Parts: sequence; structure tokens; C-alpha cells
Amino acid sequence: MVKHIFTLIWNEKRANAWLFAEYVLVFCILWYCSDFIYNVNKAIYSDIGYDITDTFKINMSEKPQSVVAEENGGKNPGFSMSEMLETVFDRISRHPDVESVGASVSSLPYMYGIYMGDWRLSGLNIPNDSLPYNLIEHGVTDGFFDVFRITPAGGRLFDWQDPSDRQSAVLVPLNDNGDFGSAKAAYSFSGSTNSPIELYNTYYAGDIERITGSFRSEDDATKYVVGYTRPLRRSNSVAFRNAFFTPLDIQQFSLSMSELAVRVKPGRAEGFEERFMADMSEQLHIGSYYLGSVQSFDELKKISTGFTLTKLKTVYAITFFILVNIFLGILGTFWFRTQARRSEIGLRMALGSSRKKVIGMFAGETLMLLFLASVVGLVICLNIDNDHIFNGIFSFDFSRAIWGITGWQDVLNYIFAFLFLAGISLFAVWYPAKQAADTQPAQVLHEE
Amino acid sequence: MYKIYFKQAIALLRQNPFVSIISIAGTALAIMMVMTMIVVRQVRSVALKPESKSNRMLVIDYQLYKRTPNSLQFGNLSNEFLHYLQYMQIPEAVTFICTARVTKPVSLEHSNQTFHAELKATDEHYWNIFEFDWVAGKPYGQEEVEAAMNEVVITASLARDLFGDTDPVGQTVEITFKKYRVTGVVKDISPLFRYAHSDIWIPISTQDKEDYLTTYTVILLAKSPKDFEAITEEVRDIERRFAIENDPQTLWFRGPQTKRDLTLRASGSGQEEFKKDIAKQRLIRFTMIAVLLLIPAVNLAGFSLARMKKRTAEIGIRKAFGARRNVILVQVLFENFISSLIGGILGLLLSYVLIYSFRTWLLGLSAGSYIPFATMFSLPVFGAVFLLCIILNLLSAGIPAYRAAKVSIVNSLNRNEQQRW
Repeated sequence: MVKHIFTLIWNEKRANAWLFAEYVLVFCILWYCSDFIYNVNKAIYSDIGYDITDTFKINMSEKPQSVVAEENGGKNPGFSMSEMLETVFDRISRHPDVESVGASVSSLPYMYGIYMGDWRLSGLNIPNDSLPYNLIEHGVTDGFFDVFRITPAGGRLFDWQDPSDRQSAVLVPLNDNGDFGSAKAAYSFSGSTNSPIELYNTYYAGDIERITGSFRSEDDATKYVVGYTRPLRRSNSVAFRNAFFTPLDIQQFSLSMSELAVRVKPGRAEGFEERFMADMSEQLHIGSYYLGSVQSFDELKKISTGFTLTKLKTVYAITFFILVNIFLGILGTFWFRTQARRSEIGLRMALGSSRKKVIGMFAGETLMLLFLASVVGLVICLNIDNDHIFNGIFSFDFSRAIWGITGWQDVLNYIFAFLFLAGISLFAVWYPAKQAADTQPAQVLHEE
Repeated sequence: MYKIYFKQAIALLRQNPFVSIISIAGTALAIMMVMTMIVVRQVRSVALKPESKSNRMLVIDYQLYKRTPNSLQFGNLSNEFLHYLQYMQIPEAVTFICTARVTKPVSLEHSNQTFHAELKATDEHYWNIFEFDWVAGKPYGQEEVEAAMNEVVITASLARDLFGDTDPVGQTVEITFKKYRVTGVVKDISPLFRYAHSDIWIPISTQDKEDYLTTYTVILLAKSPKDFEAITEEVRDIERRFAIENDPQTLWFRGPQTKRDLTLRASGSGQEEFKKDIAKQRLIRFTMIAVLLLIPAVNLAGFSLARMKKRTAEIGIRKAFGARRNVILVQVLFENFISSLIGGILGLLLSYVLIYSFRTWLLGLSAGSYIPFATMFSLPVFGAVFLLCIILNLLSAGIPAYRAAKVSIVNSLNRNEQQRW
């Protein structure tokens, strides 16, 4: 049977060469589309770890300096930044809809600010403790964990009464494997607190500006891990990255630098933005600050994933285009073929071949051609780096190493590309094959 | 003669409607995809009011500053370095636009009602570079900018929202706690015009320099596109002068780029790297268009080959009666071109439907905004469709036509194509 199919393919080698070329090209493109579609969808629809239902971002804005100077007759407002921050905090938390308030620096989900530095990890079981690890630092107040419902998966949260905790404690999110980060320091926390890992700040001396490892002055302090949390990602389009939380003393920060987030009581999220703006505009107009706007994190998520969804739509469009084309190509080619081979098919039917067998013959020929093309396509795809394709065409950071994508993806891509093409091809070949099978032997043989 | 070819082409299309539909559909789909890419780009960089001079415009929107060779700072232009570009010799005009896309509350004096609106802070040259339709009043001029007078230009729709009419010249609005006098009202601008679009324009000098959100874009208006190279060189000279005067600090202004090149979104950390990235982005775009055309071309070539096989005898007879090779070649290409053109026109129409229905996705427009009619229907767009049809035609019918023309008379009369083909 297989040998017979090869003979058939060989007999029509000219027309089949075109089809084969098209199959190879299309297989390769579908391969990358599959990779992209699967991984991007997985990233977009998987949980990022921050619970953002019923949460809102409060944006405080600062008035122009000249206005402030004018209002106060050239003098500074008569109270300190820390007093003002406390007032802002206090007033927000008194709003009847608000359940908890958190302040942070470069920590909110779906926002872009990143604070990072290179740190040396030391402690038990770290394979190379002289190696610097690039870590993202999130300064947060205690309310932050309530707002995003982040609970320690082991160990504990910060003890805000303990001065040494306020100074040096850190909380680390572990990755999906329960390890500390992508450095593959396979280090699991056994639940013991206060000493499992120490972070030393080391200054990064590369060829870009020195990155300070901490936004505090006493950066070189040794930090200790008090607990760990579930895996956290900042947005749906970024991979897990090594990070740690550190206690944020709001009195040391300016409002323009820190982020404010609130969780509202269950059932109060509807229309909260307008309500809060109306209720609080007056109250939060303090000194040089005023309430700028309120945004729900759902909205921020929409904006953030919007860019990725746009790219995804482009890939869908390409996939659709390819599938329609291969459909038309096979339909047309086999249409001509049925016509050219009418007499042969008539003879086959006359000699006892069934309709089923004739349709099977056409289908077998298509699938064999596709299989041969897919092998060639596979060799091509395995030799072109996926990362380059995604980075080059979609400017999408989809490095397999960062996202932890394994060789199984290749198998998946092959199956996807092959099955899709096979399905569409069989669908396309059906009509010409039926035409062929409907041939009346008597009539065709008569034409001869 | 072409009339006969045309009639014959139509007859051929009718002879086998099934295959004709398939090939026209394939062509239409390919042209649709490519035209969508081209029209989107065209719409983004079109030279229409208010950006009617955009084909003479160059944009600088990014700088890279090194305090020492090992420390760098990059992003939008900062106020600190603007004056280096202010007195450029070759451009006809230079303008600075504050690019901070912040929405700031706007309200009437003694009113608690606030509106959120987009704001641009500009100098007086802005009003010469862009051509607005004035509903009332006039723009602020050099004097107002130099004196940092609180004057404001607003759009007609904002004027309606604030004052209830479109002629509020002389009235006062409060913008981020500062009082501004309305000096002019312009017609609303489509957000497609990135540099002209805004709700509010204020003199750049009234913006606080300390405001950390304040970042700038520089627009250089050349006397003619021929000057682009000289202007780019002048920018490089400015950087060289900066490097000498401020050793070891260095400064790089990315580009300047045309609006068309901006759609490539190229990046880099220096002019050389940037140029390379522009070339790379162009190559990617070109490759994508090539692949989009190649796939249907392979399809269509297969069909043409099969069709030509059937017509071997006809071609043999024509040759026997004295038709030369190139006559056959032109005939086959022309016949095929008719179906490409039908597919092309269909594809263009489909691309309009596609762009219009997916404008949020393709053009990044908000649901309510409009696309100026003339941006989509222009001569270059139609020219591009025609060119694409020719390319697709050559790709798909070139080989079959060449083969048809080459077969010897005896063989083709004998339908002995198998040996030669």
C-alpha cells in the first residue's frame, strides 16, 4: 500500500513538488505559530500569584512647584512628608469601602517600575556563594500583603515590632518547583526561619551605571529570610524572576515615589472609582498633593496584557492565512489531478475498486506528502532558534530558558503543525476525491 | 490584441469556474494581508492636515547620555539638553513638544467639576509646523511663550464640554491648579496624528522644569526631504561638539527619523547599532511580505502549470501559425494578470473592511475615534496593489509561461509535453 502511494506521488512529481514545497514552508511557519500561541496563551491565562480581585491603585499627583510656592506665599507647607503620608494613609483606610491599604516601591503587579541589584547569596546548600545573583527588590508595607492576599507558604511575615526585622528581614517568592529562583540553586526552605539564606549586597560593576542593590542607605546590611511565598509574576507577559520583599518604612519615602493600592470590601468594587474620587478628592488634597485618579487592577491588567494579545492576534491571523492557503492549494491541485486521471480511476473502478478505496488513495497520497514535508520541516525548525524568531519578529522576550520551556514543546509543536495540516488537507482533498469516486466507469472508459 | 487576450482570459476563467474561484480567492487573501500591512503603515505616516508637512518632518524622541563611559541614562529627551538642538541651521523650523501623556484635571474657575484631558506643552513654532483648523481665536506666539504667559489652546469638543459653546476665547480655565486664558479653539484631531493630537496646548515655558514627568520630543522641519541627510549630519556635529565640550560625557540623539521609519520601532544604543536595527526591521517586514506572497504564489503556480498542460495543443497551433516565443509569453502572463488583478481589487476591498473592523487592534485607536477618509484611499495605495499583482503574477505564472513558450511546435502539437516538462 505504502509503496503504491509512493509510486502515485512519483508519477505526479511535478505537481507534487509544488505541493511539497508549500507544505515545508507552511509547516515551518505553523511550528513557530504553535510555539507562540501555546506559550503566550499559557502565560496570559495562568495565575500570576497576586490576587487582584477587588483591588485598586490610588494615584496621588503632585502640584506644580510654582503653584505650591504661590499658595504658601513662597514658603514650604508647614508639615513634614511623613506626617502627610500618615494622614493620606489614615484617610484612605477610613473610607467605608476600603478593607486594607498598602504602599510599596516598584512592587505593584501590572506596573513597570523595577528596582534591582546584584546580591550574593550565602547560607546552606548554595552551590556557589561567590556568584552574584540579580534580584528584584520590592519594598512593601504590611498592608501590601493583605491587599494582594499574599500569605507565607512557609515561615512567617515580617514582625513590624521587631527593629531587626524592619531593618533586614526579607520574604522570597519561590518558583514553581519550590526553588529559590531561576539560578537553579535547588534550595528548598525547610520551614526554619531567620537563617536559611543570607543575602549580601554586592555592587554590580559592569559597563552600565552602578546599580545600587537597595533603596536604603544602609545597603550593605546582611539580610535574612523569614519566610517564602507562592510563585509571583509581575504581569501575565513576564516570566517568574528572582525577587524578594523587604519591609518599607513609609516615613522614609515621598508620595511621588511610592505606589498606593487598596482592597475594597467584598461587593463594593462596583463603581468604587467614581465613589472614591467623589468622596475623597477634597480630603486627599493635602499640601502639594492631590488625588489624581483611581484605577482598578483589572483595568491595569487589561492594558498590560493588551500588548501581548495584539501580538497573539497577529499570529492567529498568520495561522489562519496559512491554513486557508493550504486548503485552497490542495483543493486546486487535486481537482486538476482528478480530471487528468479520470480514465485511470474509471479503469480501477471497473476492475473492482470501491469508492472507499479511491477516496483512501487520494487521502493517503496527501498524508504521505505531508509526512515527508514535515520531516524536512522538522529538521529546519530544530536548527533555527525559536528565541530569535520571537525576539526578531514580535519583540517578545520568549527565551526558552527564562520560561522554563522544555523539549516537550518541540513534540507539541510537531503534533500541532502536523495535525492541523492533516485535518485541513483531508478536508480539502475530500471534494476532488469524491468527484473521482463518483466517476462512472462505463462513461469514462467510453471516452477513451 | 490585448483586447483579445482580455476576452480570452475571461473565457478561460469562465471555462473552469471552480479553479478560477480558488485562484482568485488565493490572490485576494494574499493581497488582503499585504495591503493591510501597507495601509496600516500608510495611515500612520500619512501627510494630511494637521500633519500635512509630515513628509518633511524628522523626529527625535530618544536620547542616550553617558556621564562616564560606564554610566548611562536613556529615554525621552530631557529638558537639560534641549538647547543644543534649538538653534540648528539646516532645518526650516525646530519645535519642542512635551510628550508626557499625562491626563490632568481641567476645570472652570470656581467649579468643582473636573475633566480629564490630554495635554501638550509646545513652543510657538509648533503652530507653523502643524496646520490646524481654527474654530476661534489664534495660537499663542513668540511673545507669549517667552513671557511664559498662561494662555491655552483647546479643542472644540473640550470647549463644548467646559463652556457649552465653541467660542470661549478670553475665558479662563484651571489646569492643574493654574489659571489659563483661552486664546484659541481648534477642530478635534484624530489620535492617528501622534504629534498633533491633544485636547489642550499650553506654552512650554509655563510647564515646571522640575516636574519629573516632563519629557520632550523634538520635531525638525526640513526645507525639503533632500536635506534629511544634512540635518542628520548636523545632529551628529552637535553630539561631537557636546563630547568635546563636556569630556568625558557623551550624548546621542536617536535618529532623527522620518515618521515612516518610526513605525519600524527600531532601537539601539548608538547611531551605528540603530542604523543596523532599522535595516533589520525593514528586512523582517520585507521577509514577511515575501512569505505572504510566496505561499499563494506556490499554489497559483501549481494551478497555472496544470492549466497550461491542457492548452499545449492550442499554443502549438498558434506557434505553427507564426506566433513568436515572447508573444506567447506575454499572452500567458497577461491572461494570468487579469485574474491577479481581480483578486487584487477584491483583496484591497477586504483589507479596508479588515482595517475598519479591527481598528483598535491594527491602529491602536480607541473605539470611538475616526480614521480620516483620505488616509486610506490614496494613489500610493492603489499603486502598491497594482505592483503586488504584477509581482504575484510573475511569481505564479512566470515559470508556466516560460515553459509554454519554450516547448517546440512538434512536441506541443503532439501534446507530447510529458517528456519536456
